[in-house]
Amino acid sequence: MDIDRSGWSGEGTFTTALIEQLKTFESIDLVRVEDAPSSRTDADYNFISNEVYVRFRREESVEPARWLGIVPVRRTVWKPAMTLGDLESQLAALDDVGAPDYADEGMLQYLKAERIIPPYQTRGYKIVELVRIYSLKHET
Amino acid sequence: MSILGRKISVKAIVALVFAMIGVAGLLPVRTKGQPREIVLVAKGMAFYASGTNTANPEITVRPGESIRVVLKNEDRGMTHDFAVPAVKAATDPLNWNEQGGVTFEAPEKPGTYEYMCRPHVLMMKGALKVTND
Repeated sequence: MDIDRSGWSGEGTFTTALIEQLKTFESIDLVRVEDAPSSRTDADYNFISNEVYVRFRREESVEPARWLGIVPVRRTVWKPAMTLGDLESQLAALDDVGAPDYADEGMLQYLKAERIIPPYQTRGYKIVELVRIYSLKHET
Repeated sequence: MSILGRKISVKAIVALVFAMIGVAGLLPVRTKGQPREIVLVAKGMAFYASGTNTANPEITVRPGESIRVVLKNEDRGMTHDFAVPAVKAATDPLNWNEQGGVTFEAPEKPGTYEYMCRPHVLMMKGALKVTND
């Protein structure tokens, strides 16, 4: 599997854990991580927004078809070995990741929040991490 | 008809009502034009003025000015709204790709008030500055 982290600052503990899990999926052949432009820091919070693009391995499949709608033939097609829906269910079963907060046909979204209280402070600040996973298509 | 022991005729009541209507017609009425429209876009857990890149921008208004804020939610997977608690105004919650608006009158007292997205108040809040300048 190829992992492209060139567009990522490396921030986000959940993103790091997610990538470690994605590495174990044989049906994924590329993971690309990028910082989203909306990442920002304020006095009360640190908002980390990452975008993860996954490309699923393709599998050859032979399907029956009809040439000119009459003659029965068999044709070879390439299908993704996994869908985003499959990925969602498999990630949901993992303790480190869990079910997404939002999912649609093109995206899985995780929103995690954690309050950090450094030594000698009472209020601290909040780390909010937003991770969106998109599916990449193979170039034809 | 009797009020406080005095008899008042129906004619007198009708005359009084017409007199009140007449006086009301002479009173100066504060007319207001169309509210000024401000278009905001919610994306990346922040508000942006349409076509700009500043997150949660300061909105400047005049005291008592009539304002209509239109919010477009471009944040996929998120529900946002726009609220100004000081004037008890808020849009309905808006899902991704939805648009909604709220019309309100700015506070009469100059100062800085807060606007926010109620579900995400930590990251989505900004200043509504009321000034005569």
